[in-house]
Amino acid sequence: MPELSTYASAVNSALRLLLGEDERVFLAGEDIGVYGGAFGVTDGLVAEFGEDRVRDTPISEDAIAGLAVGAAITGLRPIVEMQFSDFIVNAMDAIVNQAAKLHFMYGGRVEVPMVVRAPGGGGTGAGAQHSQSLEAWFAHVPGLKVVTPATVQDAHDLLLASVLDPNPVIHLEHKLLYKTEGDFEARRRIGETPARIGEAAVLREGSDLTIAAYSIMTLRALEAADALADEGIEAEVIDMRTVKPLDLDTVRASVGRTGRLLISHEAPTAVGVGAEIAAGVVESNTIDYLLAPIRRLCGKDVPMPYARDLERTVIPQVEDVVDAARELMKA
Amino acid sequence: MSAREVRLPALSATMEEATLLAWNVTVGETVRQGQPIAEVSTDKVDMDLEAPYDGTIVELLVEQGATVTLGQTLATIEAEEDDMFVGLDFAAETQAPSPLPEAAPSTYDPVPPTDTRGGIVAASPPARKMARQLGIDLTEVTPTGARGQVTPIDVKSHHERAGTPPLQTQQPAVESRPESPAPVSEAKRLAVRRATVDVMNRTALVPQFTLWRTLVLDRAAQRRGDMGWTTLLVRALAASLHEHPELNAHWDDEQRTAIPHDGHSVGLAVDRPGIGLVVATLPDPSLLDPGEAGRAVRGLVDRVRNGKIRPEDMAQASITLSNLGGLGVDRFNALLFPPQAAILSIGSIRHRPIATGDGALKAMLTAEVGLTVDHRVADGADGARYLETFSSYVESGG
Repeated sequence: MPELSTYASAVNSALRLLLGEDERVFLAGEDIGVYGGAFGVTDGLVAEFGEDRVRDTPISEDAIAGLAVGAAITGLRPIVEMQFSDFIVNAMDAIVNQAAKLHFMYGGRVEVPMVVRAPGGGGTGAGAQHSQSLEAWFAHVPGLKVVTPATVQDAHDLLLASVLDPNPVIHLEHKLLYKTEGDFEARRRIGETPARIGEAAVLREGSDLTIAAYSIMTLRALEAADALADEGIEAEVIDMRTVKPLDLDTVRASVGRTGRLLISHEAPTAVGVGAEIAAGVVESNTIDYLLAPIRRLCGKDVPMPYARDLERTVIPQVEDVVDAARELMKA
Repeated sequence: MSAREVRLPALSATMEEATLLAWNVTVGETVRQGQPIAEVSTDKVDMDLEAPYDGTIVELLVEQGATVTLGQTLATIEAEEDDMFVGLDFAAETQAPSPLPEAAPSTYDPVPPTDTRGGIVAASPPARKMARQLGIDLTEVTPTGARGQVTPIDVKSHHERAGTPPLQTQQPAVESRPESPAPVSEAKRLAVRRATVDVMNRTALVPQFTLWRTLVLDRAAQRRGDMGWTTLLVRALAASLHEHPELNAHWDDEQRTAIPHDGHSVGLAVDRPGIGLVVATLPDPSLLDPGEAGRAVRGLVDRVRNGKIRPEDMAQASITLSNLGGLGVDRFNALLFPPQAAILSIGSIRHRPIATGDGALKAMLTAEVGLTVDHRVADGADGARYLETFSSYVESGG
C-alpha cells in the first residue's frame, strides 16, 4: 500500500533493497558511512550492512569513479556517490574515457554495471560550485545513460532500474527534492521495479500545450499546470525521467495533440537537453502539428549566484512556467 | 534570393483595417527602406506606408481602393538583385517544398501521431501561416505533402479555387475606370521589358553558339496521341538533360569551374501579348506522365497569360524552350538566359520536302531546332550529343 515518504528515504530504501538482495552491490563515497551522507541518503546503511559494503572513501572523486569501473568489470555492482554532482568533473576520465567505452572497446565482452549517484541543482544558496546541473555533459557521451528522477517513487524505481542496467548510469538526484514528500510504495524485489530507463511519463493530461520537463522542473511544471487550469489553460505535463536516452516519441505524440511545446529544465538553455528535445520534435513530422514556435524555459547562462534572490532569477520558478505557458498560448 | 512580404502594420492602436488609397510604386521599381510606397487611410488618419526593406517591388497584391486588414500582405519585395528576372522573381519562402525532405527520410516519422485527439490538421509551418493570413480553414484544404501535411501550394490552390481572393479589392477602386486597364498593363510591360533587358545584358557577356538540326516528326505525330507538341518537347528536353549533365551547369568565373545545377526543370518562354516575354519554369516534366506534364504546361501558360504567376513558376530552370513556330517562323537563334547553359528554339512544324534514302523527295512533317550553348560550359560536340538524344526522344514521340 502506498504511504508517504521523502525522496531521500525512497533512495535510501532502494539502496537497502539492493544491498540486501544482491551481494554484488556495494556503496562507496565521501561520508556515506558513519555520517550517513551529506544529505542523509545513506543513513543507517553502514550499521546494517557493514563497512565492506558501505565504504567511506578519501576525498578523491577520481579514485571513487576509478574503483567503481574496476569493480564493475570484475562483476560487482558498485553504486558510488559523488557528494555534489559538481565534483564529478574530477572523475571525468574514469567515467567518460573508461566506464562509457569499455563495453565497446572490448567488443561487448565486458560490461561496466556501475551507477554514479549525485545530487545536482541549485536553490540551496550553496554557490556556483555546488549548484550545477551537468546532465547535458554526460548525455553527450555515447555509452552513458543519464536518469533524472523527479518524483519520490521514481527516485526509488529508477535507481533499481539503473542497477539492473549492465552498463554505466549517471543517476542525478536534486538537492531540493530530497525533502519533498510523495506517495511511495517500496519494491520488495529489485526486479519488481516498473521503471524503464528511456521512458517518459505523462503526469498530467491536457489539451492546450505540452510541458516537457525533468527533475525538479517537473514538480514546478505540475504546480504551474494547476495555476494555468484556473485560467482555463490545460497543460499536459511530461516528466522525461531519463535524459539519455530521451523518450521523444512520448513528446511527439503529445505535441501532435496540443500543437504547443514548452520545455523546461534547470540547466542552462544553451546546448542543453531542451535543444535536443526541440530538435527531436521538429525533425519529425510533428513539425506539421506545431501551432506556435517551441519555447525553452531553462536556467540562465551564468554561474549560479550565491545570493538567494539572484539564484531565483537564474532558475525557472513556478510563476515563470505559468508566464511562459501563457505567452505560448498567445503565439 | 530573398523575397520579403510587406504587411499592413498597425498605424494606430485601434486600427484593424485600412483602405489602400494609392500605390506610389510599380512592379519592378527599386525602393529603399523608409520610402513611401503607398498611401493608406485608417480609421483615424491618412498615412504613408513605408518600404520596410531595400529591394525591388515584385508584386503588388492589393488594388487601389481595396480594404485591407491588419497584417495582410500587400506587396512583395525582392531583396537580391541577381536573379533571372528581377522584376518577376517571387517569394522564396512560399515555394514548393524542396525535394530534400523526401531525399532524407531517415529523420522523418513514417506516420503522423496516431493519437489525433487534438484534431490539429497537419500543415507545414509556412502553410499554416499562409492559411492564417488568408483566413482559410485548414480542415477544408486537401493535403498533398509527402508526410500527409498541407503544403503552402495546397493552401494557395485552395485559395484560388475558393473564388474571390480576399486579397483582391472588395469594393470598386476610388477612381474607377473599368475600361482603362492601360496604366497597370503599361507598368507591367515596362517591368517585363526592363527584366528582359537585364537578362539580355548578361547574355551578351556569354560566348554562345547555336547548333541546328532538322527533326522529322511524322512518326512522333502518330505516336504522341493527345500529347501536345510543347509537352513532348519539354519532356524530351528534361529527359535528355538527365543523360547529359554537362549541359546542366553554369560557369563560375571566380572559381573558374562549372557549377552543376540542381534539378532538371525547364523554362518555357511565353509571350504575354501587350506585356512581353516571360520565362516561367516547369518542374522536371520528365518525371511526370504525359497527361500530368500536359496539365502542368497548360496551367503554367494560363497563369502567365492571365498574370497569375506563382512563386514556384519563377524558380531557376536548367534549360529553356522557345517556340516561335506558331507565328510562322521557320528557325531562329535563341539567346541564353544566364545562368542556364542551354536554350532550344523551335520553328514551325509543317510538311517540307525531304530526300529519302532512295533518292526521292517526300513531303514530311519537319521542324528546325536550334540549340544554343554556353561555350564556357560545354563544347560543340557536347551540344551535338545532347541534340542527338533529344531528337531521338522527340522523333519517337516520347
